[in-house]
Amino acid sequence: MKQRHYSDLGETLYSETLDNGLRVYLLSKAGFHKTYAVMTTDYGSIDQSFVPLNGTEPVTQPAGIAHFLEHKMFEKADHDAFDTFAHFGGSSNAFTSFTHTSYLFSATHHLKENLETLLDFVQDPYFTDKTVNKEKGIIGQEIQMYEDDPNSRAYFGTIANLYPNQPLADDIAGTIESIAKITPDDLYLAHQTFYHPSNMSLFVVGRLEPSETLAWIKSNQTAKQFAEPAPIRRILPPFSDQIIEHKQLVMPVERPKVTIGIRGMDKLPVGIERLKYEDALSLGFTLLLGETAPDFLSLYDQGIIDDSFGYNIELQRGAHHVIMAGEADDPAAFENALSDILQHADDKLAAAGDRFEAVQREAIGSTLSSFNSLEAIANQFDDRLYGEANLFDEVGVVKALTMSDVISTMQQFIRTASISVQEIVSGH
Amino acid sequence: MPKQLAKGVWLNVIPTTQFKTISMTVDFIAPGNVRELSNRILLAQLLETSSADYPTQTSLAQKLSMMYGASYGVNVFRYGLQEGLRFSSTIINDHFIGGESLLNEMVNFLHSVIYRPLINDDAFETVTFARQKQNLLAYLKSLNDDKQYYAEQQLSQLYFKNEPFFATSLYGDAETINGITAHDLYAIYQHLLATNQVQITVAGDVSEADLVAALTNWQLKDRQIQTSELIYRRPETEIVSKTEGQPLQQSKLNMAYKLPVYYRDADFYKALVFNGLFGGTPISMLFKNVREKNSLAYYASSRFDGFTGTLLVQTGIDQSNEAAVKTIIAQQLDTIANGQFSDEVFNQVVASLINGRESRLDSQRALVNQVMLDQLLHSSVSATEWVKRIKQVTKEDVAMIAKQVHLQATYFLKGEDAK
Repeated sequence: MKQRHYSDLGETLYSETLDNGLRVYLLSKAGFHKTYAVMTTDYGSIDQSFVPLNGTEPVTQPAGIAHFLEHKMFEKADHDAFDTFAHFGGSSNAFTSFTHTSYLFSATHHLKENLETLLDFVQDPYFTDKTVNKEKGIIGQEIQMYEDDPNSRAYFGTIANLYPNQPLADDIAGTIESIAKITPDDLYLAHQTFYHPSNMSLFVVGRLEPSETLAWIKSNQTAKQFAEPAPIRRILPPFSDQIIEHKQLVMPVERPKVTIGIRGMDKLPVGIERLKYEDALSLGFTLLLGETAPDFLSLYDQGIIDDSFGYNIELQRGAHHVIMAGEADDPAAFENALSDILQHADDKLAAAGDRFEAVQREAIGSTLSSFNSLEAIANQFDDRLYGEANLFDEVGVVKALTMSDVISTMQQFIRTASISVQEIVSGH
Repeated sequence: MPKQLAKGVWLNVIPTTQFKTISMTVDFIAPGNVRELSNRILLAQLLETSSADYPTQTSLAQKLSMMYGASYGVNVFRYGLQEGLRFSSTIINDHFIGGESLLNEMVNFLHSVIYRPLINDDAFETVTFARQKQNLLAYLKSLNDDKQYYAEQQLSQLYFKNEPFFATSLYGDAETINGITAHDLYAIYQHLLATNQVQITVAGDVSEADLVAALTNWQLKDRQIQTSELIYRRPETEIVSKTEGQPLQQSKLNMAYKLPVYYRDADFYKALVFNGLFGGTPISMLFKNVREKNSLAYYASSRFDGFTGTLLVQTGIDQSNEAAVKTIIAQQLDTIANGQFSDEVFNQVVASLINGRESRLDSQRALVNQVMLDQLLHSSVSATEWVKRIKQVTKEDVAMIAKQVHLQATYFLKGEDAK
């Protein structure tokens, strides 16, 4: 088992890749009462087209299948995994993003039994026509719930504007029409291809003893047979830099909502340089639009933005973008003001040097604070996006950043980026 | 152990090395009333964004950023009959930031934002006041776009139609807020600072002595100790129901029941297990039967409030299924009242509740909250004791609780086609 101590965090991360390819990470947290475990596959809503494991011909599956599979993994022939966790006091859940599907539990007792339940239910699919069709009603309600939620519509609408005609444009849950087509065979095929241990990781954090925990995991995994690991063969759509610049959606909202998406077209660096890129971008946007920025105050005092304004930097497999969102009584003023700031980002950053230390300190504190939360540590951890680097390197990376790193990264991003605006307004 | 800094002013310190941060809250607590609640909500909005020393968000944010992104927030809480204005801040432990101690800086910062508000001639500074009032009103309006919140709020207004203090949301009442002036609010704030019970709660790698030293220049004055009765025993009323149509894809069916069991009463632990079995967990009867078995909802759950003896049910369903869902919900109550549930599911619920309680020991915020509440109640129940009491609950106890549940109000937000 590998062991790495991060002195600036006071944390020691243990890791090992098992013979079947499963990447295991263990972090013991002194003083904690519960243990949180999350098992993640590198498979999300965008992975609709692929060559199946042991297959030769590409297939394209219905939108929403990764999320549907997530729902259906819990139900087995004679029991529900929720109940098995509950039997051992474990609380379980799962979530699907564009690029990942994660299964989790947290428990203050019976760690061994809960871990085995997690490994077993994720690796043992059971689907029938009856159980699959029943789920269509439940997910149908979930889709409709999000259809009524203007914030969700604004976010996913913006992503769709930034990546039209690409799998990213589909809602993670799919549509009522797309999920109607899902069959048990589709689910088995997706599971067989993407849930191979070599495409998955397991992060366990909290009250645990690393070598004992690893032994439990190993003993569970060596008792199971898996196909030979093979590289995942995703079929990616041809690259397109096309975007939809402006879109308006009419739905009954009390106040207009505006979302501005900025899609990066630049090529991302790899490894720890990518983490550095992400953090530099984050500091850059904080300097431009964070609460310490003079422009923030000026727009706030003019009533163009208010406390609902926020932005997020998102980097994922195959895409990166910045999303800015807020409510605005005057959407045009909101859009013009923000696009003006982006256009003059160079000058504004050149004048922001005296605030650099403050935003750098804030970023360090924010990463350190996130290590209070077992969920935050395990959910944010991504062991592939940044090569050998990960969340644990972030404080060190932020400390080493300079103002000129921030300026050059912002230039690289903004120079080639495309901008899209999504408005949500009521009809009258 | 709590330390009384002055009459009606309490300091509770929870020394722990479990977290990377030190969390501090300063609570001003008084018996609640409906006008006062909205006053506090506007105060929170105003005091979170400005003070005499930090007159703009920018200056406030710059200060917090330099303190390694210290958090700062002001919010309002309501526990039964009591309401509180809470100032909170969290800083990083000094040994993660090269030994620079932020504790005194945080304590001084909180003193500055609490006791030196941005004022002009015995009133809150008018431009900032007007801006924040407008922002709060705008926020209140847009909250209605969250239909789960909206349905819950509508139900609350039905259920507590004779008790406006409870019917008002914790985001305030727009009409009341609209009528508040900068001058009146400042006077109200001065009165609050002088008369409210004060509870200062700190969790982190600090000692009580550190805090007592850091707090010396606060010069907190004695105040009258007010009644701290928390429990509200709502009288039983006629059943009321309301249906409202809106252009929505998903309908919301929310129901309120009276369950006359109160926080830390002898029956309280039985009611918690009952709620876990009925709808409070993902292994509950509501989740199993409304969602899993009949595929009628994405969410179907219940919540129990021991400060008012209220059981709330919320579901997101298709508009055509209202009657079917009501029937299933009523059946689940009967089934529990008749003791028709397995030992296995009962044990699962008990194990889940214990997991939830013990997990709260890993949240700095939950620790602070619990200590604050214990101080307000002048009693405490440790996690160990809590677990012991939950384990004593029997299936018969839970059936007995189900018999005490009485429907009082139903609200249906009916999805209709957009025009």
